[in-house]
Amino acid sequence: MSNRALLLAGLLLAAAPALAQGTDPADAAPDPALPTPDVELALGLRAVTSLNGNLTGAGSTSTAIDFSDTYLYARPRLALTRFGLRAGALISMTFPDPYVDPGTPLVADANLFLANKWFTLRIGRARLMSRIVPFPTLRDDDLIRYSDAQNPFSDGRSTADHQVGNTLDVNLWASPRHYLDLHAENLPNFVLSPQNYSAFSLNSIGVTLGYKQIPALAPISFLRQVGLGANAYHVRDARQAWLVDVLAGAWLNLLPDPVHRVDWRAQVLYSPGVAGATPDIANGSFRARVISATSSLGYTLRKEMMPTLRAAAVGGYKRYLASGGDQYSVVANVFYALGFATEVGLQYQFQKNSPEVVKLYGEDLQHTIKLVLVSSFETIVNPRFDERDSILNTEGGYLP
Amino acid sequence: MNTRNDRRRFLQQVAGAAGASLLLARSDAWGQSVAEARPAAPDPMAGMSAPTKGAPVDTTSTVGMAGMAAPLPAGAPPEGSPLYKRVPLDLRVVQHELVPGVVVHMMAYNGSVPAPTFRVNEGDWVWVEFTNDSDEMHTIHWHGLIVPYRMDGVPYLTQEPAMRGMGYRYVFQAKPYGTHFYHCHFGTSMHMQAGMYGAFIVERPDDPIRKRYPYTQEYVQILSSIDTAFVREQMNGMFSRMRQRDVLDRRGALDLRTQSRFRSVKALRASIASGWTPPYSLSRTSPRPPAPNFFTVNGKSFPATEPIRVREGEWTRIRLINAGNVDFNMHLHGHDFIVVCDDGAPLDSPVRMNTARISPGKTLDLVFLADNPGYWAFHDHDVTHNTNNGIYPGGAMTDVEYEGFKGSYQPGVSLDE
Repeated sequence: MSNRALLLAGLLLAAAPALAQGTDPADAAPDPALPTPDVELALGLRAVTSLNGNLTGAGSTSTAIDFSDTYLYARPRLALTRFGLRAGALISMTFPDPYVDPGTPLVADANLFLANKWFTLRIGRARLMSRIVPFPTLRDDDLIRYSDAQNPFSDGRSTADHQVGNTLDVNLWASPRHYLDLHAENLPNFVLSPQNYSAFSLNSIGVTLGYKQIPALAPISFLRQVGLGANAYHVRDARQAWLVDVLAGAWLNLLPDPVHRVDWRAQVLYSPGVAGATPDIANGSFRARVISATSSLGYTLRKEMMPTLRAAAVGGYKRYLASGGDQYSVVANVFYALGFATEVGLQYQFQKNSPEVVKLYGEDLQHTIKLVLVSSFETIVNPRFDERDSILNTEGGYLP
Repeated sequence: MNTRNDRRRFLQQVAGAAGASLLLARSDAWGQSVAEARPAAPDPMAGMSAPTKGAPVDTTSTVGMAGMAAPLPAGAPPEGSPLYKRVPLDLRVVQHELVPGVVVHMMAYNGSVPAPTFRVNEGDWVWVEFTNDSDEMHTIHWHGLIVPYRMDGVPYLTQEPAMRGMGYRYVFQAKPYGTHFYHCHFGTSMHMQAGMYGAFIVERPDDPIRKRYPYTQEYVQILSSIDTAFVREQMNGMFSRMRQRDVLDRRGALDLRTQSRFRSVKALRASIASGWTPPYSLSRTSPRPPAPNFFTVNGKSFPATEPIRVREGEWTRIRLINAGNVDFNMHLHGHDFIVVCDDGAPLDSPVRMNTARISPGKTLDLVFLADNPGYWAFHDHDVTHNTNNGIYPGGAMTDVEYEGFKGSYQPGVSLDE
């Protein structure tokens, strides 16, 4: 899979002008009578590296060099001639946890999208709408048990099962800040076909209604984001056909200041579960009747409006309502900026599992410390477009 | 220091009271050539404001972004004198069509790109009330005019720039005679590309050019160039930063270094030594240098440019102003023209030619006799500037059309692919 992904990304980048002219693969030679539309190309990398030290309640220790969540992407965009549309594609790869499958990148995005002022239609592999707000942990799966809707078809091998999937996603924008998202997915069904990753079927649909402040004003606005969503999974269980979860979240700047910013985020997720599911095995925990909550308090210092320091405390709690048992985790981190988009940091995570879930997770208590170096790079070749939610398009009128 | 809201309330209160008297001065101050080849100017009363009172001179560790009012120049009439040509100028973000099918965000004085044309007599006293309704900071520089230094519009050299909702009062005597222009002098590279320029014509009743070449009409053509991606990215970035600075300003926490602002080069060196990183450093995000993709005459690219309409046997004067950042080599087909003024000053020995080079910041006045009926191209002969996004024909190109001429071939519009 990794080789295919690399090949696909390479072909896309090398053949962008030719692809722009036509879509017929039999048409190997571009038609010189047609103009070559200008393509914008964004290339980026977010490199996340850490030295992890783990200590369990039983006193065992382990260490690891972790590069998971490292994310490499390419995003070409092209203006279309009809309906004020632009077309784009997002191809990305991430690296999984070192304990899972070291060295094998995962295709996180391989999608094509159409967008104009009012909507974005995205088809392909993409990030799932499994949460309303992001939380300030080093990696986006540090608290995934609490913060993301769980894929009930996963066997628990990878947290990516809950984060990416094959998606048909329509984002409708009533304004630059108000959106309605409708989506349907083929989630990988490892339970039905544990050996066959390609055994997909349309097995999930969902809706999210939300408000999201535009990026230019988000740091200095009290309300950054609020949303309400639901996901329905066609679990085809003998006792019920569908599993429906609901989630609600908000992100507020308690101190919306460009230099000293304090923000608070919270999200609650409820899943009625599938009758009989218990958290003693991974898939059971994803199908169990649960309520979970995640919340964070963050501080960002941007001395002279330059990246300086950020620190956060994040907590997640999950209670298994049918079978009993609970688990919680607390993350505290601090990152110091060495410049733009490059930070060194330290993250501490404490996890506690009640006896009902110890069987699945192995320990009742775990401490993790991570020494972190993270850096983001992006360049846009031939910039062509403004964003729908730019301050110019928001306040000066949208221009395609 | 007034807060932004206080300042806005103050402006609203005085604007109504001041409006009536300024309306009387409008026709004097805004006399325009009937043949001027640019869009009609918007109502100059829109966005009218009162004289600005702003923050004190920076002597502390924090400083606001308010504009300031300079004292009236020596010899100026009293504040309420009817001798002034009073002109309100505001500044807003607009959507502007460069050419059919290409609309961009620009920053426009009184909503117009290019800005309205000033036309006054030499020696007139001019009173400009500038109000900034954009999120960026601005000044106005009177390019080629001999004004008191506090009216020259160079930020941090002669004045504090005007923040949103604030302004600056420019008072000066119009001199010398000739073709000049005005433009923003803050963030000049981006702001001039974004449309902040206009013509400033100082006339004499005994016009020396008309005496020698009895022209019956004249055109003002402001040449410019724009990198649309550069302007878009810069406007988005600057507006975002200014909104955040405004939050700090309102609570008195906006310090000098946050604004990349220093009292001297020595202070700049000291800040860098103490860890501050200048915006032009490789370690900070810096804009790429602009690479213009549209070239304009009076804010429009061919074929949206306005033609020069002439009558056979009559002289026409063209006032060329280069408000862009590239050289233009304007070539007239079928005629020679005579360069009669350079930077507004009449030439002792006018020069006959058919292609005139005009560098950024220059003005040239041309006259020509309409003695060859037909349709004649008038364009930049650096033909890479005759393109729109690289497609020919476009850009800095227009034509001379004879009134009443009925030729055997009628011009049309055709675009190469």
